[in-house]
Amino acid sequence: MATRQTHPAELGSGDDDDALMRRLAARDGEALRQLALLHAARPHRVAWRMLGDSAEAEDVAQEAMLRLWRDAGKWQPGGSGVAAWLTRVATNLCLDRLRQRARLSGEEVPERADEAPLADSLIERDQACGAVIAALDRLPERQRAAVVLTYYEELPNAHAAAMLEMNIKAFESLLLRARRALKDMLVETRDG
Amino acid sequence: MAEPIDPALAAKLDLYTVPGLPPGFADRLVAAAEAEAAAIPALPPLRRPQKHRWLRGGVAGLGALALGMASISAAAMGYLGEPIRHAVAEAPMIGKVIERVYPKAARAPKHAASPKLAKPAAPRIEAVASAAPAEEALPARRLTPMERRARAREIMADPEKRRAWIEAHPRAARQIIRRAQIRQRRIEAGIVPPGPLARPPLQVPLRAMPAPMRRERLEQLRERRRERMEMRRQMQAPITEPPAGEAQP
Repeated sequence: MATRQTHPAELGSGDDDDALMRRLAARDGEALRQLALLHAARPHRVAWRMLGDSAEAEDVAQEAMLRLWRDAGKWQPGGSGVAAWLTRVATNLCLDRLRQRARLSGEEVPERADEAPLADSLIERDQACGAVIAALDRLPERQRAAVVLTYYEELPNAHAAAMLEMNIKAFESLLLRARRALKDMLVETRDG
Repeated sequence: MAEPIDPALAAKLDLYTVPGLPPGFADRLVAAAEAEAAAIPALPPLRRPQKHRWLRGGVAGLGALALGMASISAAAMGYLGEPIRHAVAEAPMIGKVIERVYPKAARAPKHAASPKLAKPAAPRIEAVASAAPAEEALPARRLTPMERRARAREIMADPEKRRAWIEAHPRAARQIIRRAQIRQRRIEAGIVPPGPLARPPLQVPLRAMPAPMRRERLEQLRERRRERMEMRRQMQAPITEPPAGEAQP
Protein backbone atom coordinates (compact mmCIF):
# COMPACT_ATOMS: atom_id res chain seq x y z
CA MET A 1 0.00 0.00 0.00
CA ALA A 2 1.22 3.45 -0.80
CA THR A 3 2.41 5.98 1.68
CA ARG A 4 -0.60 7.83 2.97
CA GLN A 5 1.48 10.59 4.54
CA THR A 6 -0.52 10.48 7.67
CA HIS A 7 0.87 12.95 10.15
CA PRO A 8 1.37 11.35 13.55
CA ALA A 9 -0.51 14.20 15.15
CA GLU A 10 -3.58 13.28 13.13
CA LEU A 11 -4.01 10.35 15.49
CA GLY A 12 -4.18 12.72 18.45
CA SER A 13 -6.75 12.18 21.10
CA GLY A 14 -10.20 13.74 21.08
CA ASP A 15 -9.42 15.48 24.37
CA ASP A 16 -6.82 17.61 22.60
CA ASP A 17 -9.36 18.40 19.92
CA ASP A 18 -11.95 19.43 22.48
CA ALA A 19 -9.51 21.71 24.26
CA LEU A 20 -8.48 23.32 21.00
CA MET A 21 -12.10 23.69 19.96
CA ARG A 22 -12.87 25.51 23.19
CA ARG A 23 -10.09 27.94 22.41
CA LEU A 24 -11.35 28.19 18.85
CA ALA A 25 -14.81 29.09 20.10
CA ALA A 26 -13.15 31.94 22.00
CA ARG A 27 -11.74 33.10 18.65
CA ASP A 28 -8.16 32.08 19.39
CA GLY A 29 -6.22 32.31 16.13
CA GLU A 30 -3.34 30.28 17.53
CA ALA A 31 -5.70 27.39 18.21
CA LEU A 32 -6.81 27.51 14.58
CA ARG A 33 -3.20 27.38 13.51
CA GLN A 34 -2.57 24.30 15.67
CA LEU A 35 -5.70 22.60 14.39
CA ALA A 36 -4.59 23.29 10.82
CA LEU A 37 -1.19 21.77 11.48
CA LEU A 38 -2.82 18.74 13.10
CA HIS A 39 -5.78 18.04 10.84
CA ALA A 40 -5.79 20.07 7.62
CA ALA A 41 -3.66 17.56 5.74
CA ARG A 42 -6.41 14.96 5.52
CA PRO A 43 -9.08 17.18 3.91
CA HIS A 44 -6.35 18.46 1.62
CA ARG A 45 -5.46 14.93 0.50
CA VAL A 46 -9.08 13.94 0.05
CA ALA A 47 -9.75 17.03 -2.04
CA TRP A 48 -6.64 16.53 -4.10
CA ARG A 49 -7.52 12.93 -4.98
CA MET A 50 -11.17 13.70 -5.64
CA LEU A 51 -10.65 16.86 -7.64
CA GLY A 52 -7.20 16.21 -9.09
CA ASP A 53 -6.19 19.85 -8.73
CA SER A 54 -3.80 21.35 -6.21
CA ALA A 55 -5.35 24.81 -6.11
CA GLU A 56 -8.84 23.46 -5.66
CA ALA A 57 -7.56 21.06 -3.02
CA GLU A 58 -6.11 23.94 -1.05
CA ASP A 59 -9.35 25.90 -1.45
CA VAL A 60 -11.39 23.01 -0.13
CA ALA A 61 -9.06 22.45 2.82
CA GLN A 62 -9.18 26.13 3.72
CA GLU A 63 -12.94 26.27 3.39
CA ALA A 64 -13.32 23.25 5.64
CA MET A 65 -11.08 24.85 8.26
CA LEU A 66 -12.98 28.14 8.04
CA ARG A 67 -16.24 26.29 8.59
CA LEU A 68 -14.69 24.76 11.66
CA TRP A 69 -13.78 28.28 12.79
CA ARG A 70 -17.30 29.58 12.17
CA ASP A 71 -19.08 26.66 13.84
CA ALA A 72 -16.71 26.29 16.77
CA GLY A 73 -19.38 27.52 19.15
CA LYS A 74 -21.61 24.57 18.23
CA TRP A 75 -18.92 21.95 18.82
CA GLN A 76 -20.03 18.98 20.92
CA PRO A 77 -17.14 17.45 22.90
CA GLY A 78 -16.64 13.70 22.84
CA GLY A 79 -17.64 13.23 19.22
CA SER A 80 -15.79 11.59 16.39
CA GLY A 81 -13.11 14.26 16.43
CA VAL A 82 -12.01 17.18 14.33
CA ALA A 83 -10.32 15.08 11.65
CA ALA A 84 -13.49 13.10 10.91
CA TRP A 85 -15.53 16.30 10.85
CA LEU A 86 -13.12 17.97 8.45
CA THR A 87 -13.02 14.90 6.21
CA ARG A 88 -16.78 14.84 5.98
CA VAL A 89 -16.97 18.54 5.18
CA ALA A 90 -14.20 18.28 2.60
CA THR A 91 -15.87 15.28 0.95
CA ASN A 92 -19.16 17.13 0.65
CA LEU A 93 -17.40 20.20 -0.73
CA CYS A 94 -15.66 18.04 -3.32
CA LEU A 95 -18.91 16.36 -4.31
CA ASP A 96 -20.49 19.79 -4.75
CA ARG A 97 -17.64 20.91 -6.97
CA LEU A 98 -17.77 17.75 -9.04
CA ARG A 99 -21.51 18.16 -9.58
CA GLN A 100 -20.93 21.76 -10.54
CA ARG A 101 -18.34 20.66 -13.07
CA ALA A 102 -20.79 18.16 -14.49
CA ARG A 103 -23.45 20.86 -14.85
CA LEU A 104 -21.04 23.26 -16.49
CA SER A 105 -19.71 20.61 -18.90
CA GLY A 106 -23.22 19.49 -19.78
CA GLU A 107 -22.27 15.87 -19.52
CA GLU A 108 -22.77 13.24 -16.93
CA VAL A 109 -19.62 12.34 -15.09
CA PRO A 110 -19.62 8.62 -15.96
CA GLU A 111 -19.85 9.37 -19.65
CA ARG A 112 -16.96 11.78 -19.73
CA ALA A 113 -14.56 11.20 -22.57
CA ASP A 114 -11.01 10.04 -22.12
CA GLU A 115 -9.70 13.34 -23.39
CA ALA A 116 -10.64 15.11 -20.20
CA PRO A 117 -8.76 18.35 -19.52
CA LEU A 118 -7.48 16.86 -16.32
CA ALA A 119 -5.69 14.12 -18.26
CA ASP A 120 -4.11 16.68 -20.56
CA SER A 121 -2.82 18.70 -17.70
CA LEU A 122 -1.17 15.74 -16.14
CA ILE A 123 0.83 14.57 -19.13
CA GLU A 124 4.04 15.79 -17.62
CA ARG A 125 3.51 13.79 -14.51
CA ASP A 126 4.37 10.22 -14.08
CA GLN A 127 2.66 8.11 -16.69
CA ALA A 128 1.46 5.48 -14.26
CA CYS A 129 0.23 8.03 -11.77
CA GLY A 130 -1.51 9.84 -14.58
CA ALA A 131 -3.34 6.69 -15.53
CA VAL A 132 -4.63 6.29 -12.00
CA ILE A 133 -5.72 9.91 -11.87
CA ALA A 134 -7.52 9.58 -15.16
CA ALA A 135 -9.20 6.41 -14.00
CA LEU A 136 -10.38 8.03 -10.81
CA ASP A 137 -11.61 10.99 -12.77
CA ARG A 138 -13.76 8.74 -14.92
CA LEU A 139 -15.52 7.28 -11.92
CA PRO A 140 -18.81 8.75 -10.75
CA GLU A 141 -18.19 11.17 -7.94
CA ARG A 142 -19.61 9.01 -5.16
CA GLN A 143 -17.62 5.99 -6.27
CA ARG A 144 -14.54 8.17 -6.35
CA ALA A 145 -15.25 9.37 -2.85
CA ALA A 146 -15.74 5.81 -1.64
CA VAL A 147 -12.35 4.74 -2.99
CA VAL A 148 -10.56 7.80 -1.63
CA LEU A 149 -12.06 7.46 1.83
CA THR A 150 -11.67 3.73 2.28
CA TYR A 151 -8.46 3.00 0.43
CA TYR A 152 -6.40 6.14 0.64
CA GLU A 153 -7.66 7.42 3.99
CA GLU A 154 -8.24 3.95 5.44
CA LEU A 155 -11.56 4.81 6.97
CA PRO A 156 -13.84 1.96 7.98
CA ASN A 157 -16.68 1.34 5.59
CA ALA A 158 -19.21 2.35 8.22
CA HIS A 159 -17.56 5.75 8.74
CA ALA A 160 -17.24 6.37 5.03
CA ALA A 161 -20.88 5.39 4.53
CA ALA A 162 -21.91 7.82 7.23
CA MET A 163 -19.91 10.59 5.61
CA LEU A 164 -21.69 9.98 2.33
CA GLU A 165 -25.01 9.62 4.14
CA MET A 166 -25.56 6.09 2.88
CA ASN A 167 -26.39 2.84 4.60
CA ILE A 168 -23.60 0.33 4.84
CA LYS A 169 -25.00 -2.13 2.30
CA ALA A 170 -25.45 0.50 -0.34
CA PHE A 171 -21.98 1.83 0.36
CA GLU A 172 -20.35 -1.59 0.02
CA SER A 173 -22.15 -2.11 -3.24
CA LEU A 174 -20.96 1.30 -4.41
CA LEU A 175 -17.40 0.49 -3.37
CA LEU A 176 -17.51 -2.85 -5.16
CA ARG A 177 -18.61 -1.23 -8.37
CA ALA A 178 -15.87 1.37 -8.06
CA ARG A 179 -13.15 -1.22 -7.58
CA ARG A 180 -14.36 -3.25 -10.54
CA ALA A 181 -14.38 -0.18 -12.71
CA LEU A 182 -10.87 0.75 -11.64
CA LYS A 183 -9.64 -2.77 -12.14
CA ASP A 184 -11.09 -2.75 -15.63
CA MET A 185 -9.40 0.52 -16.44
CA LEU A 186 -6.02 -0.03 -14.79
CA VAL A 187 -5.31 -3.72 -14.46
CA GLU A 188 -7.21 -5.33 -17.26
CA THR A 189 -6.21 -2.69 -19.81
CA ARG A 190 -2.56 -3.19 -19.17
CA ASP A 191 -2.86 -6.95 -19.05
CA GLY A 192 -5.06 -7.03 -22.10
CA MET B 1 -18.25 -7.07 4.52
CA ALA B 2 -16.54 -5.82 1.40
CA GLU B 3 -14.21 -8.13 -0.37
CA PRO B 4 -10.48 -7.35 -0.08
CA ILE B 5 -9.01 -5.22 -2.80
CA ASP B 6 -7.16 -6.83 -5.63
CA PRO B 7 -3.38 -6.57 -5.01
CA ALA B 8 -2.75 -5.60 -8.61
CA LEU B 9 -5.25 -2.78 -8.32
CA ALA B 10 -3.78 -1.74 -4.98
CA ALA B 11 -0.35 -1.56 -6.56
CA LYS B 12 -1.70 0.72 -9.23
CA LEU B 13 -3.60 2.93 -6.79
CA ASP B 14 -0.54 3.32 -4.60
CA LEU B 15 1.19 5.14 -7.41
CA TYR B 16 -1.07 8.10 -6.85
CA THR B 17 0.79 10.09 -4.25
CA VAL B 18 -0.24 13.48 -3.01
CA PRO B 19 2.05 16.21 -1.70
CA GLY B 20 1.51 17.67 1.71
CA LEU B 21 -0.02 21.00 2.56
CA PRO B 22 1.61 23.91 0.77
CA PRO B 23 3.92 26.04 2.90
CA GLY B 24 2.21 28.95 4.63
CA PHE B 25 -1.19 27.28 4.54
CA ALA B 26 -1.77 27.77 8.26
CA ASP B 27 -0.75 31.43 8.11
CA ARG B 28 -3.08 32.12 5.22
CA LEU B 29 -5.85 30.29 7.00
CA VAL B 30 -5.47 32.28 10.20
CA ALA B 31 -5.33 35.53 8.25
CA ALA B 32 -8.52 34.63 6.39
CA ALA B 33 -10.28 33.69 9.61
CA GLU B 34 -9.26 36.88 11.36
CA ALA B 35 -10.29 38.97 8.36
CA GLU B 36 -13.65 37.24 8.39
CA ALA B 37 -14.08 37.92 12.10
CA ALA B 38 -13.18 41.58 11.61
CA ALA B 39 -15.62 42.01 8.76
CA ILE B 40 -18.69 44.16 9.26
CA PRO B 41 -21.35 42.12 11.03
CA ALA B 42 -24.57 41.41 9.23
CA LEU B 43 -27.37 43.89 9.62
CA PRO B 44 -29.94 43.00 12.28
CA PRO B 45 -33.23 41.70 11.02
CA LEU B 46 -35.96 44.21 10.37
CA ARG B 47 -38.18 44.91 13.33
CA ARG B 48 -41.23 44.69 11.15
CA PRO B 49 -41.71 41.74 8.83
CA GLN B 50 -41.57 42.58 5.16
CA LYS B 51 -44.94 40.99 4.49
CA HIS B 52 -46.79 43.90 6.19
CA ARG B 53 -45.44 46.49 3.78
CA TRP B 54 -48.73 46.59 1.89
CA LEU B 55 -50.54 47.30 5.16
CA ARG B 56 -48.46 50.40 5.81
CA GLY B 57 -49.24 51.63 2.31
CA GLY B 58 -52.95 51.10 2.91
CA VAL B 59 -52.87 53.00 6.17
CA ALA B 60 -51.05 55.90 4.50
CA GLY B 61 -53.62 55.94 1.70
CA LEU B 62 -56.54 55.97 4.11
CA GLY B 63 -54.93 58.78 6.08
CA ALA B 64 -54.48 60.86 2.93
CA LEU B 65 -58.10 60.22 1.94
CA ALA B 66 -59.38 61.25 5.36
CA LEU B 67 -57.25 64.40 5.28
CA GLY B 68 -58.57 65.29 1.86
CA MET B 69 -62.20 64.86 2.93
CA ALA B 70 -61.61 66.95 6.03
CA SER B 71 -60.01 69.69 3.94
CA ILE B 72 -62.95 69.76 1.50
CA SER B 73 -65.41 69.92 4.37
CA ALA B 74 -63.52 72.75 6.01
CA ALA B 75 -63.35 74.66 2.74
CA ALA B 76 -67.06 74.16 2.15
CA MET B 77 -67.88 75.43 5.62
CA GLY B 78 -65.77 78.51 5.06
CA TYR B 79 -63.03 77.79 7.55
CA LEU B 80 -60.38 78.33 4.88
CA GLY B 81 -61.72 81.69 3.71
CA GLU B 82 -64.56 82.93 1.56
CA PRO B 83 -62.87 82.55 -1.86
CA ILE B 84 -62.05 78.93 -1.23
CA ARG B 85 -65.55 78.31 0.09
CA HIS B 86 -67.01 79.72 -3.10
CA ALA B 87 -64.65 77.69 -5.26
CA VAL B 88 -65.54 74.46 -3.47
CA ALA B 89 -69.26 75.21 -3.45
CA GLU B 90 -69.17 75.89 -7.19
CA ALA B 91 -67.90 72.38 -7.89
CA PRO B 92 -70.89 70.47 -9.32
CA MET B 93 -71.03 67.46 -7.06
CA ILE B 94 -69.73 69.11 -3.93
CA GLY B 95 -72.11 72.04 -4.33
CA LYS B 96 -75.12 69.71 -4.50
CA VAL B 97 -74.02 67.81 -1.45
CA ILE B 98 -73.43 70.98 0.52
CA GLU B 99 -76.78 72.40 -0.50
CA ARG B 100 -78.57 69.26 0.59
CA VAL B 101 -76.82 68.93 3.92
CA TYR B 102 -76.51 72.58 4.73
CA PRO B 103 -79.00 74.81 2.89
CA LYS B 104 -78.00 78.33 1.92
CA ALA B 105 -80.52 79.89 4.24
CA ALA B 106 -79.03 78.16 7.24
CA ARG B 107 -75.45 78.91 6.21
CA ALA B 108 -74.07 81.77 8.21
CA PRO B 109 -71.18 83.56 6.62
CA LYS B 110 -69.69 84.35 9.99
CA HIS B 111 -67.05 81.61 9.63
CA ALA B 112 -65.85 83.06 6.37
CA ALA B 113 -63.26 85.76 6.82
CA SER B 114 -64.65 86.76 10.18
CA PRO B 115 -62.87 89.89 11.34
CA LYS B 116 -61.74 90.08 14.91
CA LEU B 117 -63.94 93.05 15.64
CA ALA B 118 -67.02 91.01 14.74
CA LYS B 119 -66.47 88.68 17.64
CA PRO B 120 -69.42 88.40 20.00
CA ALA B 121 -69.22 90.68 22.97
CA ALA B 122 -68.99 89.55 26.55
CA PRO B 123 -71.95 87.36 27.54
CA ARG B 124 -73.35 89.77 30.10
CA ILE B 125 -73.41 92.72 27.69
CA GLU B 126 -74.95 90.57 24.99
CA ALA B 127 -77.66 89.49 27.40
CA VAL B 128 -78.42 93.07 28.28
CA ALA B 129 -78.64 93.91 24.60
CA SER B 130 -81.01 91.05 23.95
CA ALA B 131 -83.24 92.21 26.80
CA ALA B 132 -83.30 95.74 25.37
CA PRO B 133 -85.48 96.71 22.42
CA ALA B 134 -84.12 95.85 19.00
CA GLU B 135 -83.55 99.46 17.96
CA GLU B 136 -81.49 100.05 21.10
CA ALA B 137 -79.26 97.01 20.77
CA LEU B 138 -75.83 97.59 22.18
CA PRO B 139 -72.94 97.71 19.80
CA ALA B 140 -70.90 94.52 19.52
CA ARG B 141 -67.76 96.06 20.99
CA ARG B 142 -66.95 95.96 24.68
CA LEU B 143 -68.23 99.03 26.54
CA THR B 144 -65.98 101.30 28.48
CA PRO B 145 -66.64 101.53 32.24
CA MET B 146 -68.19 104.98 31.81
CA GLU B 147 -70.50 103.71 29.12
CA ARG B 148 -71.33 100.71 31.24
CA ARG B 149 -72.31 102.87 34.17
CA ALA B 150 -74.40 105.15 31.94
CA ARG B 151 -76.08 102.12 30.45
CA ALA B 152 -76.78 100.74 33.94
CA ARG B 153 -78.28 104.02 35.06
CA GLU B 154 -80.44 104.07 31.97
CA ILE B 155 -81.69 100.54 32.61
CA MET B 156 -82.36 101.18 36.25
CA ALA B 157 -84.28 104.37 35.48
CA ASP B 158 -86.77 102.55 33.28
CA PRO B 159 -88.93 100.02 35.21
CA GLU B 160 -89.52 97.92 32.09
CA LYS B 161 -85.85 97.67 31.23
CA ARG B 162 -84.96 97.06 34.84
CA ARG B 163 -87.43 94.20 35.08
CA ALA B 164 -86.17 92.71 31.85
CA TRP B 165 -82.55 92.98 32.95
CA ILE B 166 -83.32 91.39 36.31
CA GLU B 167 -85.07 88.51 34.61
CA ALA B 168 -82.08 88.08 32.32
CA HIS B 169 -79.51 88.30 35.15
CA PRO B 170 -81.09 86.98 38.33
CA ARG B 171 -77.84 86.14 40.06
CA ALA B 172 -76.19 89.49 39.38
CA ALA B 173 -79.39 91.24 40.40
CA ARG B 174 -79.46 89.41 43.76
CA GLN B 175 -75.84 90.36 44.36
CA ILE B 176 -76.51 94.02 43.58
CA ILE B 177 -79.56 94.08 45.80
CA ARG B 178 -77.66 92.51 48.66
CA ARG B 179 -74.82 94.99 48.37
CA ALA B 180 -77.31 97.82 48.27
CA GLN B 181 -78.95 96.53 51.43
CA ILE B 182 -75.61 96.32 53.19
CA ARG B 183 -74.73 99.81 52.14
CA GLN B 184 -78.11 101.06 53.26
CA ARG B 185 -77.57 99.51 56.70
CA ARG B 186 -74.15 101.09 56.93
CA ILE B 187 -75.57 104.43 56.03
CA GLU B 188 -78.32 104.00 58.59
CA ALA B 189 -75.71 103.06 61.17
CA GLY B 190 -73.72 106.17 60.31
CA ILE B 191 -70.64 104.20 59.36
CA VAL B 192 -70.30 105.56 55.85
CA PRO B 193 -71.56 108.78 54.35
CA PRO B 194 -74.45 108.52 51.86
CA GLY B 195 -72.29 109.84 49.00
CA PRO B 196 -69.31 108.18 47.45
CA LEU B 197 -66.18 108.34 49.55
CA ALA B 198 -63.60 110.79 48.42
CA ARG B 199 -60.39 108.94 47.98
CA PRO B 200 -57.21 110.74 48.92
CA PRO B 201 -55.79 112.38 45.83
CA LEU B 202 -52.46 110.59 46.15
CA GLN B 203 -51.83 107.19 47.64
CA VAL B 204 -48.53 107.43 49.45
CA PRO B 205 -47.08 104.25 50.91
CA LEU B 206 -46.84 104.20 54.65
CA ARG B 207 -43.12 103.59 54.60
CA ALA B 208 -42.57 106.74 52.50
CA MET B 209 -44.65 108.97 54.75
CA PRO B 210 -43.07 111.30 57.29
CA ALA B 211 -43.34 109.91 60.78
CA PRO B 212 -46.10 112.26 62.05
CA MET B 213 -48.21 111.66 58.94
CA ARG B 214 -47.64 107.92 59.21
CA ARG B 215 -48.78 107.90 62.83
CA GLU B 216 -51.91 109.84 61.89
CA ARG B 217 -52.63 107.50 58.95
CA LEU B 218 -52.12 104.41 61.05
CA GLU B 219 -54.50 105.80 63.65
CA GLN B 220 -57.10 106.34 60.92
CA LEU B 221 -56.74 102.81 59.70
CA ARG B 222 -57.04 101.42 63.22
CA GLU B 223 -60.16 103.48 63.78
CA ARG B 224 -61.74 102.18 60.60
CA ARG B 225 -60.87 98.66 61.53
CA ARG B 226 -62.53 99.06 64.90
CA GLU B 227 -65.59 100.51 63.17
CA ARG B 228 -65.77 97.56 60.78
CA MET B 229 -65.51 95.08 63.60
CA GLU B 230 -68.19 96.90 65.50
CA MET B 231 -70.44 96.92 62.46
CA ARG B 232 -69.94 93.18 62.00
CA ARG B 233 -71.02 92.53 65.49
CA GLN B 234 -74.08 94.72 64.97
CA MET B 235 -75.15 93.32 61.62
CA GLN B 236 -74.37 89.71 62.45
CA ALA B 237 -73.74 89.19 58.81
CA PRO B 238 -70.41 88.69 57.09
CA ILE B 239 -69.05 91.59 55.15
CA THR B 240 -67.06 90.31 52.23
CA GLU B 241 -65.37 93.52 51.23
CA PRO B 242 -64.41 96.76 52.88
CA PRO B 243 -66.56 99.84 52.44
CA ALA B 244 -66.42 101.38 49.02
CA GLY B 245 -63.61 103.84 48.56
CA GLU B 246 -61.58 102.43 51.43
CA ALA B 247 -57.97 103.40 51.05
CA GLN B 248 -55.52 100.58 51.15
CA PRO B 249 -52.39 101.02 53.18
